[in-house]
Amino acid sequence: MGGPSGPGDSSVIAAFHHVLATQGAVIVAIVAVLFVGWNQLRSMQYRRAVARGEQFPAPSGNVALEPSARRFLRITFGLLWLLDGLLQLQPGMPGGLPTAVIKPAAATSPEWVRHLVDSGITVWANHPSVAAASTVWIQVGIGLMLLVAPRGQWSQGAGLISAGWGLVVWSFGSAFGGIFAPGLTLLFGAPGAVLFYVVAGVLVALSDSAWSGPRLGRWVLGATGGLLLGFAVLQAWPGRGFWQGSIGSGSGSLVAMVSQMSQISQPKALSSLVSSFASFDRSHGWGVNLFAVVAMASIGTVLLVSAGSSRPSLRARKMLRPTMVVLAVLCVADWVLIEDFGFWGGTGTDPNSMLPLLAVAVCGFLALTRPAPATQGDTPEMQGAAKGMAESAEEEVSEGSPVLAGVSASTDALGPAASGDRSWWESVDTRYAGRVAAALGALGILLVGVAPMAAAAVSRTADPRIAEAVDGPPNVVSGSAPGFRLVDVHGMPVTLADLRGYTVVLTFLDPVCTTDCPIIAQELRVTNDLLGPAASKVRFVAIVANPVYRSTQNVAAFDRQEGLDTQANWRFLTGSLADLQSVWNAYGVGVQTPPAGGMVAHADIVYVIDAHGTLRRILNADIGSSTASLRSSFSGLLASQVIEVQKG
Amino acid sequence: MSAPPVSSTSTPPPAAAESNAAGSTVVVAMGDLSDPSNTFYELFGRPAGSTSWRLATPPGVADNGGLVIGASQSGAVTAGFLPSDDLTFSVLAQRAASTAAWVPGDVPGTLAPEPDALAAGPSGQVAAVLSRPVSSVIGAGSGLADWSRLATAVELARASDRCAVTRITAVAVTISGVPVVGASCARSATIGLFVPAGRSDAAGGTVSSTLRRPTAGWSLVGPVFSGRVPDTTSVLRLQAGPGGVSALVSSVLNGVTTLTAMWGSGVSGTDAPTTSLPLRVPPGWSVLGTAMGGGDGSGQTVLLGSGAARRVEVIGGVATSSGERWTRLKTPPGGTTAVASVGGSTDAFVPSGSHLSIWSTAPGVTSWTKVDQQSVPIQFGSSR
Repeated sequence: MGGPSGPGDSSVIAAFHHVLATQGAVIVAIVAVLFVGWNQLRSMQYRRAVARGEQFPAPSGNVALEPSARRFLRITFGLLWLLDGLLQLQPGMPGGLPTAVIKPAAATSPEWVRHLVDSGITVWANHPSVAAASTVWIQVGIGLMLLVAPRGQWSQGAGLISAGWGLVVWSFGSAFGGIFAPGLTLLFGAPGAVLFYVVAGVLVALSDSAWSGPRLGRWVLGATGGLLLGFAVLQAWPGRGFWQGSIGSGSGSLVAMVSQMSQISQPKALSSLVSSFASFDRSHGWGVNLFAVVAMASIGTVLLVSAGSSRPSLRARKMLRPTMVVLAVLCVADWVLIEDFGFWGGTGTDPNSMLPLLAVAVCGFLALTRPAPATQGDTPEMQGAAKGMAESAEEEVSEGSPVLAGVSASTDALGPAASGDRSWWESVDTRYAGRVAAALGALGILLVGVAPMAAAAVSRTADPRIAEAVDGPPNVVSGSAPGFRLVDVHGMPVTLADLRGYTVVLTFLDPVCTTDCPIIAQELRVTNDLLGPAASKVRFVAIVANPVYRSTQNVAAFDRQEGLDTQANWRFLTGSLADLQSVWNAYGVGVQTPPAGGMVAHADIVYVIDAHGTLRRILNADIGSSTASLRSSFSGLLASQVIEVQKG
Repeated sequence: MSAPPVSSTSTPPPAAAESNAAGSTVVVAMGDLSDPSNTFYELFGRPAGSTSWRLATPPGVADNGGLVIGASQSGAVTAGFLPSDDLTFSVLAQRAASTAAWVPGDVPGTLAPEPDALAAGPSGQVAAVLSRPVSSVIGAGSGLADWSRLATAVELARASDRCAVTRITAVAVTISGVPVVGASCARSATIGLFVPAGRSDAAGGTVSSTLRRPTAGWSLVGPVFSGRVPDTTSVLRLQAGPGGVSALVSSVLNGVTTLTAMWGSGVSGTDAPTTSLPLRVPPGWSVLGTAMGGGDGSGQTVLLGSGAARRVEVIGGVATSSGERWTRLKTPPGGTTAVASVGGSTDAFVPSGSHLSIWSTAPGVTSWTKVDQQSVPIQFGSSR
C-alpha cells in the first residue's frame, strides 16, 4: 500500500474527478433552486405590476456608490480567487500538492513551521481527492462572492472569508510565504502571494466609513512603501548570494531560483525567456541586484512620502502616478521573468505575488486619489483631506455603477420596507434580490467545499479511496470459508467453527517479519478501535506465515511487540508445518523462504468471514511503500467492510 | 488508538569473525550497503581443514539488522538475528556440528548489537547479551532451553565501584562452562570483565552443563590500565578457548581510541593477563571488523577504515609475551569490509553487490592473493 504516489496517481485523480462531479451536481442544484426562487419572485412582481399598471421594474432609489478603490480590489481579488480555484482543478493537485508544493515550500523553514505545515499535509494526504475538490469550491466560492456582492454585509463577509481562508493557505499551505526561511526575497514571492489576498480581504471587510477620505489610501500606500523598503534592505544585504550571478561553480541565489523555474513544464517560449533572463543575471548579477534594490527603495520611498501626511506636497503627488506606472511595469516584469507566472508545472496554485502586490498598491493609489465622499462619521480633518485629495486628483470620481438598488450603503435589508397594502415581496427590489441570490449561490459553493474539508480535518481515518486506489477495491465474494484447526499462543486448539457467531477478520502474518506484517497488524488494531462496540462481535485472527519461525514463543513475542497481547478479540494461531501448509493452500497464501537473509515472502491478504462461516470479502493488504495515510485508509476501509458484513 | 511500536533498528556491530579448533565463521555485509533495507548480513563458514568458505546464512528471518554468532569448540554454531525495521525482538538459529540444517530457537529479548552477544559453551550451553528489556546476560542449557538471567548491567555495576558499568558488551563461556562477561565502563582504569564470584576459567575445574545465576554474585576481574584513567573502556570481543579467554578492549581518552588485546587465564581472573601494546586508532578512522582465533588459536585481527582507506593489524595469541606490538599487514584490497584469521593466514572479504571476493595473506607476505569468488543469491527488495 503506497499512498498517493504523486501528481500522476491515476486512481487518486479518478477519485478527485468523482468528488468534483458529485459536489458539482450539488452546486448545480443549489444554483437552480436560487434561480427558480428569484425568477418566481420576479414573475410575481411583474404580474402584480402589470395588474396595477405600474412600471416594472420599479425605478431605483438613491444608490450609494462603491468607492472605486474598493471595487477595483474586490473585483481583482475575486478574479484571482477564481483563477486559483480553477488552478486547483489540475489533475496533479490531489496527489502532488503536498509533495510538489507544500513540503518544498516549508523545507528550509524552522522546525515549528514544518511541524505546522505537516499537520496540513496530513489532512491533505489522508483525503487527497476531497481536500483538492474542496479547495476548488472554496476558492471559486470566495471569488464569486467577492464578485457578486458589491456592498453591505454580504460583501464584507466575503472579505472576511477571503482573509480567513487566505490565512489558512498562507500558514498551512505556503509555510508563511517562506518568511521564516533563508533566501527571503520579494522578487521570488515573499512574503507570500496569499498574504496579499489576506490584506485585500481585510480591506474589503472594512466598513464604508473606512473608505471615505484618503486615510485608508495613505495607510495602504505607506504599508506598501514600507514593505518595498524593507525588502530593498534585505535584497541589498551582503552574504545572501543576490549580488552574485554565480558563486564558484554554482549559481547566485536569484539565478538558482530563476533557473529552477525555467525547468518547470511550460510553453517552450516562456521557458526560453526565463532561461535567457537567468543567463543574463548569471553574467550581470551585481547589476541586476543593484537595479532591484534601487527600484524597490525608490518606489518604496515615494509611496511612503506620498502617504506620509494628510496633505502631501504637490511634488509628491505628481510623482505618485509615474511611480505607480513604474511599479506596475516592474511587477509585471518580475512576474514574467522571475516568478515565471507562478502557475505552470501542473501543481501551480496561484500566479504568485507580483500581481496581488500590484493590486493592493493600485487600491491604495485609488483610495488616496479617488476617495469616497466622507460620511457623517468622519472627522473634519478626514473630510478636509478627502476634499483636498479629490480636488488634486486629475480625474474626478467617476459615476460608479449602481449597486444593490433599493438598499442604502449602510443597510443590508432586502429593500424598502413593505408599506401600505403591498405584500413584503412586492417591495423587494428584484435586482437586489438577484444579487443576494447570487451571493447565496457563491456561499453555497463555498460551503460545498468547506463541509467536506472540515469533516476531513476531524476524521479519525484517511479516505478509504486511497487504499482502494493502491490495492484495488474489496473483492465481494460468497462461499464457505475453508476450515482450520490450529493452536493459539497458549497452545490451545482453535478452529474456524469455534468462531461461529463472530465476524472473523482473517489474515496471514510472519511473526518475525520486519516490515509488512507489523504494519498490517497495526492496521488491524486500528480497525478494531474504529469498530468501537461492534468489535465485540469480531474476532481478528492471524495465522502464521513462516515455515521456520512458527513457535508459540514467536507468536507471543509478536503479540507483545505489536501490543496485541492485551486485545481480547485477537488470536494469532500457529501449528505444525503440515497444518499450516494446508491452511496456506486453502486460502491461496503462497509462502516462500528465500536464501541469504531474505524475509519470508507471502501474500498480504485480509479475509472477512461472516458469523455463519461464509467468506464475504477479500482485501489486498499489500503495504507497498506504506504511508500513514494509506495505513489509516486501509483500516477505515476494512472497518467499513466489517460493518457491511455484520449487517448482512 | 494507541501508538504503534517504535522501530528498533540499531547500528549493526562491526564485522566479526572467529575461529576455533572446529572451524571458522565470518559475517559479511553484502548487497547494497548504502541502503539498509538492501544490506544483508551473510554468514560464511569454513570447517577446520577446509580451504574454502561456504554461505551458511540461516533462513527464515530478514537479517538486515545484523547477525551475531556464537561458535563452540565442538563445531556447533548459534546465530542470532538482530532486530531491524519493525521487528523489535531477536530469534536464534542453531546448527549442530557437522550438519548444515538450522533449527530455529528463541531468546527472551533483543540481542545487543555486539559481535560477541552470543557465546556457546562446551556442553551446548548458550549465553546471550541482551540490550532489551534491559542490558543483561542470560543463559540457556543445551537446545536453547530454560533461559535464565545471569546478570544485569546494574548488578555488575553494583559488584564493584572500580568500574561504572554502562552496558554489557560481550560474553564468553569457558571450556569449564564458566560465563565471562565483558562490559563498557565509564571513567575507569579497570577493564569491565566479570566472572561469577569464586569461579574462574582455570582448566581442569568442574564443568558446569548449565548456566545459572551465580549465587555469590559477580566479581570484577579485569586488569587495570596504567597511566591516565580513560574516559571509557569497552570489551569489544571475548572468546574462550583451551588457552583461556581472549579479549579485545577499546579505551577512549580525550577522543582518542586505542585497542588492546589480552589473553590467558588472567583475563578471567586467575593471573595477570598477557596484554599487547595499545594500537592507536587514528583520528577519522574506525574499527570496521575484528577477528578472533588466529595464529595459535587466540590471535586477533583488526580491520580499520577511513573512507576508502583500509588497514589490517594482527597480533599473535596467548604465546605472545606482554608488550608485543601489533603487526600491520599489507594494505588489503579496496572495499574490504571484513577479515578472518584462519591459522596463520588472514582472509579479507570484499563484497560487491551479490558477489564476494576473498583475498588472503599472512604476516611477512608482501601481497594479497585472491583465493575465491562467490555469488550470493541476495533477494534485493525483499525487505521493503
